Amino acid sequence: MLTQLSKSQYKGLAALLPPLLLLIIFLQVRLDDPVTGRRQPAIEPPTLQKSLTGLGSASLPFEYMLGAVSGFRQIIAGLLWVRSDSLFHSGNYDGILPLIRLITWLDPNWLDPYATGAWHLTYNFTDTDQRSDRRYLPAGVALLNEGIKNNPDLFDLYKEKGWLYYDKFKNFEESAKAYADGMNHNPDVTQIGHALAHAYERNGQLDEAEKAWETAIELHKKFAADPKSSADLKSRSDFGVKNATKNLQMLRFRRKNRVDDIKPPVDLQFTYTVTRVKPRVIEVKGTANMIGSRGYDVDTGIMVEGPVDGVRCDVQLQDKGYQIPPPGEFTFDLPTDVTLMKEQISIKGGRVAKRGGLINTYEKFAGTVSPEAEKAGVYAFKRDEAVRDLQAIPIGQALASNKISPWGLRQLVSVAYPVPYNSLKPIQEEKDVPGLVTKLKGDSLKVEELTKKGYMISQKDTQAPSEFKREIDMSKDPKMYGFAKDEYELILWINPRYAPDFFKDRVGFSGEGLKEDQRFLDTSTVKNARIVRVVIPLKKEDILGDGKKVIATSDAK
Amino acid sequence: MNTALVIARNTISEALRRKVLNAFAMVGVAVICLTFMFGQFTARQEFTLIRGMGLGIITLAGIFITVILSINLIPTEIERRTIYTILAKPVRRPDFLLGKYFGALGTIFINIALMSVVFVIALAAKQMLTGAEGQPSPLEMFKGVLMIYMQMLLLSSVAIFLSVFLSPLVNFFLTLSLFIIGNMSTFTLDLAKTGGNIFVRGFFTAVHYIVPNFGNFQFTNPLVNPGVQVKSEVLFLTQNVIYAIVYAAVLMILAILIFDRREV
Repeated sequence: MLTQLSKSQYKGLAALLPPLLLLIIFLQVRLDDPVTGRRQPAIEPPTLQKSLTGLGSASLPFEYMLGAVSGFRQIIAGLLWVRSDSLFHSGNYDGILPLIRLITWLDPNWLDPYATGAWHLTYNFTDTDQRSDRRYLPAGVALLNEGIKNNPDLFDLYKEKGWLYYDKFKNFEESAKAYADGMNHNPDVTQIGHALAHAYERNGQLDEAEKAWETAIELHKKFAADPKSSADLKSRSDFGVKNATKNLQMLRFRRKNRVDDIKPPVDLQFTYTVTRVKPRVIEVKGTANMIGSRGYDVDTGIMVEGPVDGVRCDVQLQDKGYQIPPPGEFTFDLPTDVTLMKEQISIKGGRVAKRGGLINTYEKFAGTVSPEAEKAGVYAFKRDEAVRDLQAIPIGQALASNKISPWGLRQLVSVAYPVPYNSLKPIQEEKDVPGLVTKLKGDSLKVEELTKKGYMISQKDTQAPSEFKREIDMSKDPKMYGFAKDEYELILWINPRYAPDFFKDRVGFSGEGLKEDQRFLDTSTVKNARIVRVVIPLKKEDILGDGKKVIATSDAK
Repeated sequence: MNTALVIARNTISEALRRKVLNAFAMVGVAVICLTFMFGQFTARQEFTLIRGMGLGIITLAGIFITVILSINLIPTEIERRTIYTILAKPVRRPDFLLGKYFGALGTIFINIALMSVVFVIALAAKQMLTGAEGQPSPLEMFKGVLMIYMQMLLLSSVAIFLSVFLSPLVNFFLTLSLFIIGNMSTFTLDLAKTGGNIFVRGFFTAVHYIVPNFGNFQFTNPLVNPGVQVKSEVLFLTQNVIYAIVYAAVLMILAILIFDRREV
């Protein structure tokens, strides 16, 4: 039979138990230590209770709850993540948010759910016409803030926050702050360092922008020279040096050139008309004198200027006095009584023709011209319009009869014999024009080719402003645009800070080149910037009333 | 002790004869499939999912192997009367019990080790094929595997301790319940500190410090999320290893004391 223990052996073993139990308790106390034990956030993020108790629809089903309490937090978080991905692909964004909430509770160190969650909140909830629901913006930032709080030493979520402020809010001050914070946490220099410089530049902090580029170049060089760097990092760092150096040079050129290029000041001559088309549908249209650089020389600045396409007019319809609240604790409950619509409308189609200057009248009118013609300040006109209103004549006839101006000749030879693609000069230099004109006069094939392409010489001056127009339909999304209040305001603005560089070349980094006396110049809304802005007060009736009606116009100003 | 080791070796042989390793084969296939399942995600998300799920599957398989193996070791010997074949030899009860326990540990080790090696190889191959940068070395996963094994070492001792006086069915549910309660140490510690009254706080303090704390061994987070840094990794891992061994020793001593007085 199995031999039993002797009494003394039995007692001896039993006597071992109390000290061993004390040792267990001692070890457990040490393991509960928030510094050396499992209670440190890196091992056991302290949010499990939240994910089990949940908020409304955001609570775990039983089987998931059992898994989570049994030590399978990551596997449950992973399953929820896979589920949220399939919901995304089926377009069920509403279903994703509770899952994101649970995942970030179950695994607060997983960065992707914060980044993706904030992206869903701020970009993917849209109305029928793909305008995002801006009431979610504070929630998006709050989610990123929570992620940053849980992962303060990693750069990734600072980057996401910086981009959200940069792209969605157009708040470059907050963007630069987030990127600057990210730079303190072992960042990817291309992702954060470059973005920081861009954010500073758009915020008008040009000295800081230069310093940011210099820092980025320095860090890239350090990584490229570090023998511990991987081949991929070295290659990216080499590319980063080139990219950052080019950007720094461009910034310096622009700072130097824009001092003169913004003179004389531009009067945008902004006009607008807002019409109620039918209840909850408004049409916003207007004009502006969007003068920018058509041909730019990095040494001397603008060589050719004229109306440019690509700048946008921001339109925001909101409850009177509404301001986006500062982000608090993350919640995806919407303030349903708030109406907030944001749209951007392209301002385009501005055209200029000078007497004796080159124009394009290609029969298949598309409103655009070739890149070399664009740099030479050539605009497109409809053929019949050009012949009737501008009395345009063919190139051959103009050359033979000298009905072409010196500027027209320069435009013509720049289109006929474009400067090389990599040339620093956008058009042919003045000294080369006579020789090229002689060459063109002897090249009938080239003249014929240009004529076939629709080039003609205008015999009159004309200037048409750029236009913007958009019908904004808020009738299909009553949940998003509830119009619960009695008073609203429609805000229209053009902010040069996020306009394309060819426009900023003429009006400056922060609108310094905008004319002082224009009607809608606003120097107080955006810190240290001059923008065009108008706030139009509206009544509920203006938007919800029946019948077509002009509800606001700049003529009344 | 030699006797115990002989019994342990026989226990492992018998477990292998009972095709316990089939579990490893299934998990191996699951892990390999896992590495191709999340291609729709970005590389970072994909590896997070693979690591989290891989370690989770190994843990899950480890729990079932451990519980099913450990709860049956002693009762089966008694019920099938095979224990009487040992009667002919002068085997001490503690040696018999320890032999069975070490045998269980050996079997669990072989399973977990094989599962882990397949997992790490699959992960390494995936990393090599995708050229993913910034991912931790697949060998880092062995830290998590060590913690899983220590968890199983403790769980097996719980099951064997309970098996000396409970039927396998009751033991199965009780062991799993203790595993779940032991994983809820986040709650028990919070309730021990913030419970409504002194009795509640006292109860949860006792639960927190006396019930085997399986939550201690959760080391998945820093392995799954590459940027997360543990302040004192070596200390943390060492403390857990000691905790598991000491707690298992206590349970085995209790099991020996009870088994010693039991009619066989």
